Amino acid sequence: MSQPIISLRDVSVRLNGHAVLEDVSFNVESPSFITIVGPNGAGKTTLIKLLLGMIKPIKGSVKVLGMNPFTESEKLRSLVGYVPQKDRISYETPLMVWEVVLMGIFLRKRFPRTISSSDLESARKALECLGMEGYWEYFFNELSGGQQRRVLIARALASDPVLLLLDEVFAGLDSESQQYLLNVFKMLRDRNRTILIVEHELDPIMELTEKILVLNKTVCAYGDPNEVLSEDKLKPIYPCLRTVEKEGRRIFILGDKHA
Amino acid sequence: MRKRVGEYSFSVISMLDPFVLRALLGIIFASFSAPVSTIMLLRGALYISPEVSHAALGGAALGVFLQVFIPGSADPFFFAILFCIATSILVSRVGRSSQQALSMILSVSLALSVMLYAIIRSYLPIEKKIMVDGYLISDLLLISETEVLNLAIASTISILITIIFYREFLYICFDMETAESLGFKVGLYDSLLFATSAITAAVVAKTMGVLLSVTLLVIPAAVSRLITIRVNRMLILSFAITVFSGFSGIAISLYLNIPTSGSIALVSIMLFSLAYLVRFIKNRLV
Repeated sequence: MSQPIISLRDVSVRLNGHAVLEDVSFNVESPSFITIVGPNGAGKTTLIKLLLGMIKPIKGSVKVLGMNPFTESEKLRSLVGYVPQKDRISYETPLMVWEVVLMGIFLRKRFPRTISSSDLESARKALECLGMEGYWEYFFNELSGGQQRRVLIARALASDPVLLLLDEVFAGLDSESQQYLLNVFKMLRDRNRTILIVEHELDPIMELTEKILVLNKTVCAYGDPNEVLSEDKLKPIYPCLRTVEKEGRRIFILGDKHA
Repeated sequence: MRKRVGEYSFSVISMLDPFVLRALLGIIFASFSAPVSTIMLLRGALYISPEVSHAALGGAALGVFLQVFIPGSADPFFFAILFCIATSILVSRVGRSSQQALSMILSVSLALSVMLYAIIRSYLPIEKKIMVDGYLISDLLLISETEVLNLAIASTISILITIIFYREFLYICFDMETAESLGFKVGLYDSLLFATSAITAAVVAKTMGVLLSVTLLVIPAAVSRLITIRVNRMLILSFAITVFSGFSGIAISLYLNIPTSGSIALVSIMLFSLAYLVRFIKNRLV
């Protein structure tokens, strides 16, 4: 059996004196599409930051691509792409689309950092992949929400990572934009990339999801959607859980309110 | 008609007077603060710069005190810069965790600085008191050659840092979290940005005085933001606005015999009002 691309063993994280993650253990095989769900404050974003080496655990072991993200971050960072939540971006800084995409290449370099023609070419290819090549000289903050999300994904793809960590990239998008991103992720999955996505609702990404991880400070459930998606497992975490039928499929609406 | 005011007369010749030339040079060096102030504006932290410039008071007071009692010690301007940098870095570090903590730290450091200024000032001979008070309300026309040289060195360092790390600073302003995820040392570069801004705050405190430092630290950046959306144009424009405000302010002060800092402040405020009005009318028409 091949080595898992992500491996966590008994990981606990405390932030400002509060337990954010407790004894989290799971493995992710490559390539795969993993969806992480959980209520607000469940530690989803913390988990992503842990995998990026931005937050250290108080106990347990974390391995990403077989490497320790805290001691081998330099090797790891070119292999992992990250798309943050939209509220982490400052829309007051008027960067152009090409500048945003280049950020993913430029800041990975050591000082003195320069922009080469091959960097520009990589940025152009990443934008092409997201169908945004025509927006090269547009201002990022003047694009629609869906287009902005595509540019941020292009930024994450600019260094051709093998693992993509996405934090709520579907939030607030219309169904057309959601479908576009789904097609992009499908294409990346076909190219053997592993995608780990944090979302509040499962509906937009169910057709791609191979495994679901339900997080509420610890791993409440992890496995195939058929195993995990049951009212017994979800109701304790989501008291407002509802299920609806849509085109012959049963859809779980996790709801905003939580325990 | 040529108007004679005090010892100056407003003419091209008067603009070549050594006092005026030094003042003009002071303005050019103070204008080097504009690009980093523009980046601080994009960082959402521009309001900190004028506050930080207050720290120059305490630093300068300590520097003058040391010069009186320990001959050969460093120039007071050096201490003014040190105090500004220390305050600014402290604010940048604390401010990342909480806005309230940032305000507290800013208040505490400024209170200490002002207390230091007041206590030390009482022990200084009268000519040294005037020297320290120059940081509170500056008279650009009284600036010495050594002070111009100090301003030149400090502002050149700040503009070089801004040019070299321009893109890194912009990316911090845009998306700090992703920058950190890429292995970029966000804390280090953010502190460098705040330290650079602190150097310019000390330069502006020396040229304009702490009370009017907001004039050159905030207004040119704000005007450039109103006029253009392109960052590189904003940086150049803010520099040009500072030079224009300074030069025309000096000319007006010579012509009307009014304080230089005050007239520079009035010109920059008028420029801001004009830019705001044009923007307002433009938005209404579109």
